[in-house]
Parts: sequence; structure tokens; C-alpha cells
Amino acid sequence: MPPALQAIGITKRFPGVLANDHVDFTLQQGEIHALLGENGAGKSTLMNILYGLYQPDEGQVWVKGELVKISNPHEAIARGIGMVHQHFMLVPPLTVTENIMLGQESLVSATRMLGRLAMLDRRSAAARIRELSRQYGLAVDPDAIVGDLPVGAQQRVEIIKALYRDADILILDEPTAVLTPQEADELFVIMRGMVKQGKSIVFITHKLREVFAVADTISVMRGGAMVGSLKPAQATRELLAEMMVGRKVILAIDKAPARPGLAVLQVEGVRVLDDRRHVAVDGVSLEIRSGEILGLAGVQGNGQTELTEALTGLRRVAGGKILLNGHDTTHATPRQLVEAGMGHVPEDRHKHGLVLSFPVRDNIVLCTYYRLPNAHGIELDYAVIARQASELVRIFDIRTPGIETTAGALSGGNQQKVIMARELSRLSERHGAQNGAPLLIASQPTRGLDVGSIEFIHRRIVEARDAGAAVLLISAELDEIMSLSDRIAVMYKGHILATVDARTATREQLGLLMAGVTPAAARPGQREGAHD
Amino acid sequence: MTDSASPKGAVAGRGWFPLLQRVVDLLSMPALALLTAFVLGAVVILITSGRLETVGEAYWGLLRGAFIKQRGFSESLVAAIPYVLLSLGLALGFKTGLFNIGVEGQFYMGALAAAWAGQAIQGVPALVHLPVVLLAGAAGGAIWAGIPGYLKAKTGAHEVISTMMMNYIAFRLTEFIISGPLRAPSGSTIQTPRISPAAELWALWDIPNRLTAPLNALTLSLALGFGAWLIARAAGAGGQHAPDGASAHTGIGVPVSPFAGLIARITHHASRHLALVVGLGVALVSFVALPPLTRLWWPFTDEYDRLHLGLLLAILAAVGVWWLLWKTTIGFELRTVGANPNAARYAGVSITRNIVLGMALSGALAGLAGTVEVIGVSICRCLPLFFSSGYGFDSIAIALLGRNNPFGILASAFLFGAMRNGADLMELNSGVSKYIISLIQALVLLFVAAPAVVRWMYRIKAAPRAAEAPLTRGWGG
Amino acid sequence: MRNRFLIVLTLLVLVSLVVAACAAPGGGTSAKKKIGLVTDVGGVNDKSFNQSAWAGVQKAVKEFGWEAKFIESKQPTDYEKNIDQFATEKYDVIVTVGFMMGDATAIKAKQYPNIKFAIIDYDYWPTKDSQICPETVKNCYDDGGLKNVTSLMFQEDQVGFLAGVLAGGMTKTGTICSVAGMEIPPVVRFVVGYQNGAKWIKPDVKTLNVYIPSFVDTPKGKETGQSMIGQGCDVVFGVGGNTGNGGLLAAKEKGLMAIGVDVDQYLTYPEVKDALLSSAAKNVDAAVYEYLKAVNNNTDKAGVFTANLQNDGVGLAPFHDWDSKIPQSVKDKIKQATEELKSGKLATGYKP
Repeated sequence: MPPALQAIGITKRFPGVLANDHVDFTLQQGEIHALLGENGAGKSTLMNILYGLYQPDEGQVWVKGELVKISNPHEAIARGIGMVHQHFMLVPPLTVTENIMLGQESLVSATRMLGRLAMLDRRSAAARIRELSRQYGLAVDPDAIVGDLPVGAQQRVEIIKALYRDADILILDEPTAVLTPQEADELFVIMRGMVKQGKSIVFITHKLREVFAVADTISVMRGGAMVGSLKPAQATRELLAEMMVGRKVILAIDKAPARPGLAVLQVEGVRVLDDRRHVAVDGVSLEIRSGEILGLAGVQGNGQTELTEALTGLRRVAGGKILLNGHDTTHATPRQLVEAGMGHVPEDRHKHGLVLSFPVRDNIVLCTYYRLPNAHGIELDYAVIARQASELVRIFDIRTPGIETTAGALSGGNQQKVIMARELSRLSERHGAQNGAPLLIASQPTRGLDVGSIEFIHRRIVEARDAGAAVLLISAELDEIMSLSDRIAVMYKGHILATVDARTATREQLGLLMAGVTPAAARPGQREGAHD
Repeated sequence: MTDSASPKGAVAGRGWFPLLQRVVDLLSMPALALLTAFVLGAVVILITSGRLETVGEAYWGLLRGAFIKQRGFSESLVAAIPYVLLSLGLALGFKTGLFNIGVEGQFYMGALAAAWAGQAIQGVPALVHLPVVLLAGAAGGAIWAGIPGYLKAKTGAHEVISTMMMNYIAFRLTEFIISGPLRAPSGSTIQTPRISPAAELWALWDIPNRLTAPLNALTLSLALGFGAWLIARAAGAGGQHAPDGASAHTGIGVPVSPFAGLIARITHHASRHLALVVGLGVALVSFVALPPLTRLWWPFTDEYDRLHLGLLLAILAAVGVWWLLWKTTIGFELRTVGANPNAARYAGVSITRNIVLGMALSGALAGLAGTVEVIGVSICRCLPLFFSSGYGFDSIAIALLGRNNPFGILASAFLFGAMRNGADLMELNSGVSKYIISLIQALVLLFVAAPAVVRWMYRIKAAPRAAEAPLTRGWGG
Repeated sequence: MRNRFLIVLTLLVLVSLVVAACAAPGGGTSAKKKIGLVTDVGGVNDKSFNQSAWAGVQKAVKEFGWEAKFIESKQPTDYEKNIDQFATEKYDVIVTVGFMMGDATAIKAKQYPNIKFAIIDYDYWPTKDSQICPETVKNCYDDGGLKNVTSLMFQEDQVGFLAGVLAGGMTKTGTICSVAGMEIPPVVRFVVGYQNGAKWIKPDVKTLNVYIPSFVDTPKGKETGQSMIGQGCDVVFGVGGNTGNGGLLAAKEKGLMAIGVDVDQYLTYPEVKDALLSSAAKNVDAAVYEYLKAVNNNTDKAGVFTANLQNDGVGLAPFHDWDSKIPQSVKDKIKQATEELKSGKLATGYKP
């Protein structure tokens, strides 16, 4: 049986970048082929070439044993190649059926499309969608409005869209980036089912755990080149990480025991309302000392976001008290907190952390542009700012063409490094200051990042701790919480259920707490329902 | 460590060639948009007139009226001056994320305030009166724009709606005040009293005569000195980071070395002092030298030429806005609020304050435009009824065409001023309605707003540029 | 394909530009006079003075074989520039429309003493502190430097008087009223004439009038009209652009009578034609034509040219639908007033 899809010697150059350098890639029929690589390794370029969005400068593409030239996505679709992009191509106000029918039409025949829409052969389309959804276990209601669907369901719509066009080769571009762990597990089941029914799948990711969970073959790309392909049985996490990054990666963080000092942040009975004025944080108390990391675990939506916003001055505190180094900061503004020595790595780097249209340089001084030495009076001193930015770019290894490049042009990992550089350098400035140790609040600091960047950021956080900062780490990744924290607090429905020592905590114990089962109710070892 | 690409990249971005390329890149789209618009305009003229000669006559008339004929060039500049100020106001708003569609109303209020301040005070020298009138006009516009700004900041009322409403209030209010409380007592026309001669913005031909009074000479030399200081300051701030940026990659691994900071502080202060010295020098030299020199030789001799000192004001305003937006903490805050309000809040920037400030500054520039028209152009040196029409709305197009960049605006405002001015002779010579100019302007705007159309027409590939900042944020924003 | 088409088109445009450039400076040396008309901000299709003036210019041009062009002003700061366009293009006569253009016309007339200027509805008086015509001169035209300017003025009080006679003759309630625009001389002349005319035919008539400081405020005009109708008025005279039109509208909606102004509003404002008895018209076209005829005969003079009943410069517009409903007695009275005003036997009572 010829391979479903084969690329030989693909080379693609962009101005100043060699995006694909003689890449070979083979997808066998009926397999799930994981394509691993850090951001910017060339995975997406390769897939876009296979899908006809780009033309290769050199190389051949074979589909089912036939040498082909794919000059646009329509031709790719005609050859049975479907792609689910990381950012969905759906029209939110239309129904599932309408979205799928729309996608079927080509732009060229706009008039035909209008005619088709007018006739609305919806019923048979909906029937076909139901059929597909049953066949592959893709639970989707054809009459639902797409905008109302959760992200996971939207993704299923995208997959059905590809199947509806008779795709038997599916390219899934980082499908799990937007999913919760449970949703990701569901997706893997679906993928398995599709392969059983003869489909072939390319699965792009940079999460190592997922590769082991679902892939039949693993290929790794780095710097535009194919590093190698192997079977999961031959691979280990460490090996894959090394192939991706190009050097030894320390996955387990090697950190010395914490040496907690004085209390830096004291939270006493804080209440916070959410946007709909419901109580989201109900009487939370906690304390973080200098030189320790407190991990805040919990399923998304249990008040962590609101608590973080309250602590960082972005949300009003409805009750209780917050002390920073002994000073009352309950109602402090973000600016006052910056001045008091707080660093904040926000949950959503695009929404809060960066101004994407600003250059890296300006993002580096986003919180300190107004004060010496960055500004004299009202006049910014770009000499100082540029020097500072260049140094931080170097120290934090931010991959950018220059400090004038807009932050939006950087990869996610490098964007996060810009934020880390800004917040951590400000904290390090305060070493030796009289009024207490600095505080770092890091919310989902590695969400969506690749292995190399995660390792880098984890190391920086531990370094900040060792330098005497108090750290509050909020993360949805239990692995991250467990490996970084010194103590772990679990939040459930606005309360902190328990705070445990990280050295003795187990996944099962934390999983139960996250599900709202308190230690009194759940004796260790009695219930094993909360697996991860 | 891996070999880092960043320092090399930083150096590569500094040569003159990439800069040139950037300039070409920046200009090519507006230039193509312009060309296409004129070609399509020609097609329309051809279709409506049926004669190819008409196309030539029309465009030749446009060219002659705008540049070649007597006073043509200076009239183009006269029309461009309010355009510059209004579009700067709009651009400043856009940069703050505000669509100040009410510049027309602020223009009126500025004109009204200036007309009032110009006649309310009598017998003070231009040295005092001119700044007072300019400030009054700016304040009039600022207050008028500040109200919707405050409403937006406090209640979320969208500025597009509220400024548009404020326009109508401004029109009717001016009408009422001109025809009632502030109506000139003598004469049958409905207008405000003539402003004091000391509050007039001098026509360029008049400068030698004006300069015979030493106080007037002092006024002009102070204005020139201020301009020189501002330009030196802006240029100094802009030029500094070239050598310093290059030095970054030789640095040793000390985060933000205090020594480097000290040097920067010294050079910074030196450049500040230098700007002050330049400003004072220019002021002194012009005070001593200008009065006798202008009597000996002065290029502007036509006493019917209306070109006035507002030209200087417009250029200084462009430099000032550029400096404010890109070289000061105030501009940094405004732009942050405009580009990402959430990040602004995160960074401790007050959104409320900056929305009000952004609107007020935007309105101040619009008010200044109205002021200039009253004290520099208006034949009665007063505010007559039915004062302006469409300057404000044209300016939206100009700001977009100039990509919200003050220097881009200088160019596009001149272009629109020339088209507005040349249109009359075009109509006289060829019989083609001057409203064809509006059509061409609309096409220019269309092509600038939708560059994809132009790229498609000329088969230009889009540069792979990530996250291009939008010119304006959506109405929903 | 498309690219090539555009290139060809661009070349065509460039070539034709060059052709035109070479051809352009040829004409303009003939003996044909060139007449330029500068409209005010209303534009040439305003169904009012601008349009009427242009009609007068066209009539003269056709008759004498001249040529004429117009420029529409967008805003008051354009006036000077637009006049200058004609002047630098060597036009012989420049007609400007409306009192808004008084200063601009005077300045340009002084700049171009060899060009003849005519301004509609604006005359120059020596005024204190005036830059144009200070009070030190006796007459603005003779020794004030405006030797090449003719002001085309209208005796609005005369036609206003006739409108008053009509209103006074038709009123059933004994109350007539006027919705006026801004309190400027032409408007005041209309109103004063109107009130005196009504009193002439019916001495005990009650007259109401309100000046509204706007020419564009239709709603305010209507509101004012309604309030005066409420006080018993049954004939509304609308004097003042759209503001006055509001008054006409108020009368029409109540089924009462109205009198238009400036032009025959039966034609220009048909929404109110049911109520329209007549209009107190200023025949701008006739005045302009008379002036240009004088230019043709070399009999034109600087100074004020008054258009009045005698030279048909003003007059009541036709009664149209109301012709049969107006009693002969009223028509006779109007005829009598016309004759007596012409002969000077009757005065309108307006004093400047």
C-alpha cells in the first residue's frame, strides 16, 4: 500500500528565513503521525505546503502513490486532504449545517453559492452530518449555532467539515492547544476511531504527553529541518525533548529546598465578585513568604482568575484585607503595586500582558516607562530604554529580529519571555530595597508554550524564589504546580479547600481536592475516581 | 547557550538601506492608491463628457489651479493648514483608540472662542494677544471634545455617537451666539465683531510691516525660537537611540548597569540643554536680524496672497504631536490605551484620564484649526455665519491617508488642499464638475483603507507582516 | 491583462494632458465678454437667488453672445479665492450673490479695478471702523474706491407691502403674521412693508411677527408659526429661507393661508402650494439681466441699482390655485397699491 501522503526534499524560503530545509515526511495509511517541534520549527509551513497554501521552492509531494502539484486548498480537498487549523474558520452566527455547507463552496463560484444557499438543501446536509457524527463519535448538533458551542464542539465541527468533503487525510494543527485535558482525551478517542475506519491523521503538537497517548509514529522538526522519525516504543520524553530543542532538556526541575523568610503577601478573608456580580472568591486567606513558591491549583473557573485580578489591583476587593510586606494594599492600584514591588505575569498575555502592536522595546518598559531612568519628566529616554531592552533580550534569549520588532510578530514563547523579562528584571531591581522582598504573581506562565520555553521560564521562576522573592503560581497544569511549588493550595468554588506540602502531595490527593472532595470526606486511597 | 539571532537582527535593521526600503514601502501604497484613483477619475470624466480632451483639460486645470497659476500654490497651502490641524487631531484620537468624528464641531467651538477672545481684549500687544487667542481656541475645542471623552470614560457612551451629537449642538450654538450675543453691532452682515489687529495671524507678505514694531519682532522671534527648540528636542530624542541601540550587543551581562544609566542621563541633559541653546539662539538671531533683513528682501510681496503664519503653526503642531505621541510618557500612555486598554490597565495607566486627555488634545487641535481660520483667513477677521463646510470630514480621509503619522498627514493634507483648491479652475476650464474631486478623494480613501484591492490590481504580494496595527479600532470597541 | 489595460489608460491620460497643456493657452482673446458668477454657500441649484441670478446671467449671455461660468462656494473663506479665480482668468464681469459676500467683493474690486463687479442684495455704506469703507468717505462707490461695483438692491418693502394688502384682504380673523429669519435689513423691509400694507387695506388688522436668528431652522419656524396661529393669525408670511418655510408649513397643515418669499415658492416649494396665496418675489434674474444689458450698452454705473416695482425687479408671484378664490376687490386694491407705490403717491413706511 503506498503511503497516504509523502513529501520529499521540501524546501521553502521566506525573506531572511529558511522555513523548510529539504524536509522528508511520510504519512502511512491508517496511522496517526505526530509532528513535534517547537514554535517556528517549520511544522506549520510544511503542512501549509501539503494543504496547498504555500508552494514549495523545491521538492515533491506524493498523494497515494501519485506525484501531484497542489496549488491551492481546493486541489488539496479534491485529493482528500483536509486541514483543521489552530484558529477555526467558522462563521459564529450560522448553524453547524450552514457552516459546513458554506465551507464546501469555492470562493470563485460566489453566485452559485448564493443560489445554493437560497435553495438550502439543508435537510440532506444535516442528515449527512448526523451520519458522520454518529460514525466517528463526533457529538455535534447540526442545528446548533456555532457561536454558542464550546471550543471543543467547534473543533468537532471543523473535523466534520473536513470529513463532509470526503477527506481521508486529516491534518490537525495543534488541536489540543485550546482544549482542556478532558476534552483532549475525548479528541484522542475520536482520532483512534477515525484511524480504525481508514483515515490517516497528521497531528501537530508540542506536548510530549499527548504524543505518547495517541501517536503511531512520531516525527520531530527543528529549525526547519526534519530531525528524525521514530515509534513511541523507541522514544522517551527526554529523548523527544532533546530532539526538539537540540540539547539536553531538564524536564524535572532541579530545585533546592525552600528557605522561607518573612511573610510577603498576607491575604485575609478576601471576597471578590465576578463580572456578573456573583461571589467568585469567598473568604480566601493565604500567606506567602519570601523565598517560597505557593502553587494555586484548581479546575478553571473556580475563582483563581478573580483572586489573581484582585491581588494585582485589576479587580475591586469586596471584602477582607491584603497586606504586602505589612502594608495594606487591599485597594491599591496596579501602579502602586508596581511601586510596592509586585511583578505580575498575567493569565492572558495577549489581553493584558503585551501591547502586540508595540515594539518589544516598549513592551519591556510597559510598567516602568514613566520613571527614572526611562523618563525624565515627561520625556522618554529611548537611549536608556533601548539599552535596557537589548540587554534583557540577550539575557532572556528572546528570539526577535530586534527590539523594534512588534511583539505581535514574535512566537508565543518569545512573547512570554518578554513579559517574564519585564516583570523579573523589575523585581531584581528591588533586591536590597529596605521595605521587604518582592512578590511575583505568575498566572498560567507556560500556557501554550513549547518545551524549551517552558523549561526556561520554570528555571527563571525558581531563580526568583532563590533570590528571595515570594511567588504565587496559578496554573491549570497540575504537573507544573507539582514540580514548581513548595506548598500547594487547592481552590474550589471560591474557597481554598486545603494547603498541602508539595513534597508529600500526590496527584490523586490534589485531583480529589480539585473535584471538591475535602480531606475529611475522602480518606486517602479510598476513592480512585479522580484520575487525570 | 544557543547562538542568539537578536543582536545581529538589531544591527541589520539600522542601516540606511532598510530605512530607505521602509520609506519606499510606506509610500508605495498611498502613491498607487492615488494613481489608481486619478485613473478611475479620468475614466469617469471620459464617460460623462465623451471627450478625451476634457480629461486633459480637467487635470491640467487642476494642476494649474493648485500649483501654477498666480497664488495657486499658496492657496493650496492655505487650504492645507486647517486640514493639517484637524487631521492631527483625528490621528491623535485614533492613536488613543478614539474616533473623534466631532472635529467639525470642535472646529466651530475653537473658532467661536477665538473670535470672542480676539475682540474681548483690546490694546494689548500681539505678544500677549496672539497666544491668548490661540489658547482660547484650543481650549474651546478641547472642552467641546472633552465632554464626550468624559462621557465615554465614565459611562461608556460611544464617542462616535456623542461627538456627532455635539456637532449639531456646536453648529446651532455658534449660530445663536453669532446672531445674538456676539453679533457685530455695525453692518448688516451677521458676524462677530472684528478681532483686535494684535490678535491677527499675520499674512506672510505683511511680515516686514509688522516687524517694524519691536514687540511684534519679539513675538515672531519667540515663536521661531520655540519652534527651533521643539524641533531640536524632537530630533534629539529621535536621533539618540541609533548609536545606543548599536552599543547594546557589546554590553557585558550586567542587567541595566547604573553606569550606563548615568552616561545616558548626562547625554540626555546635554541634549536638552543643546535644544534650549538652539532655541534661544534662533530667537535671538531672528529678533536682531529679521526686521532689517525682511525690509531688504522678502519673498512674499503679493499683498493679496492669503498665505499666513498658520503654516508655521501647522508644521510645529505636526512636530509637536509626533514628539508628544512617540517621545513622551503622555503619548506612551495614550497609545497604550489606544492599542490595548486591558494592557494599559494592567500597566497602571488610567484609562479614564487618558480617554479624556486624548479627546481633549484631539479637540484642541481641531479648535486651533478653527482659530487659524478666524484670525488668519476669514476676510472680516471674525466669525461669520455658515463658517466651515466639510473640512472636518475631509480630515478623516486625510488622517487615514497619512496613516495617522504627523508627517504623513503634512503630505496628505497638502495633497487634499491642492485638490480642493485646484478643483475650481478645473471646473472653469473643462466644465467638469468639481465634485469629481470628491469622487477621486473617496477612491483614494477606499484604496488606502482596502490595500488588498490595490495589491490585487498591481499584483503586489503582501509583505509577511504579523499583527499589523489597525488604523482605527472598530465602532463596537 | 488588467495590468496592461491600466498602463494603456495611464498613458492615454498622460498624452491627453500634454495635448491639453499645449492647447490650453490659446483662447480667450476674442471680443466676447466673459461673465463669472460666484454663488454663496447655497450653490447654483438652490431654487432661490443663486439659481435665479444664474438664469439672468444665462439670458444675457445668450442674447449678447458672451460666455459665462459659475463657481459654487463651499464656505465663506472661499469667497475671495473664488472671485480671484475669475479675475486671474481675465473675466470681464463678476457677479456675486448674497450679502455674505460683501467684504470679499469689495476687497477684490479694489484689487482688480478694471473688472466690473455686481453684488446682489448688498450695498456699501460708510461705517465706523470698517476696513472696506470707513466713515471718512462720503460715498463708498464714488470716493470709497468701489468705482467698479454695482449693488443690485431690491425694494423688499414694496413687494412686502403688496403681500400685506393681499393678507389684509384675505384674513377672516383679522390677524395676520410673519415668521421671519434674522433681523437683517432685507428681512426687516419685507416685514415692515407687509405690516403696513395690511394696515393700509384694513386699518384695524392685528399684526404679529417674530424674528428667528436663523435661516435654516425649519422646526423653529414651524413652531413659531403654530404659536401665532394659536393667537388667531390665519395668513402666515414666511420670510427667511427654511425658517420661513417652517411658517408656511404650519399654515398649510392647519388649512390656512400663506405667502411665500423671494421666489415663486409655488414652484420651488410645492409641499405648501395648497396654502400659498402668492409669493413676495425678488426678481433677481431680471435685475441681473438689466445690469448686464447696461454693461452691453456701456451705460452701467457704479453705485446702487435699485430693483423695484417700476422696473419689475420685485413683484407678487401669480396666485395660481387661489386665483379664483381671491375676490376681485382685493385684486383691485393690490393693483391700486402697485400703481400708487410706483408713482410715489403711497409710501411703504420703511425708514432705513
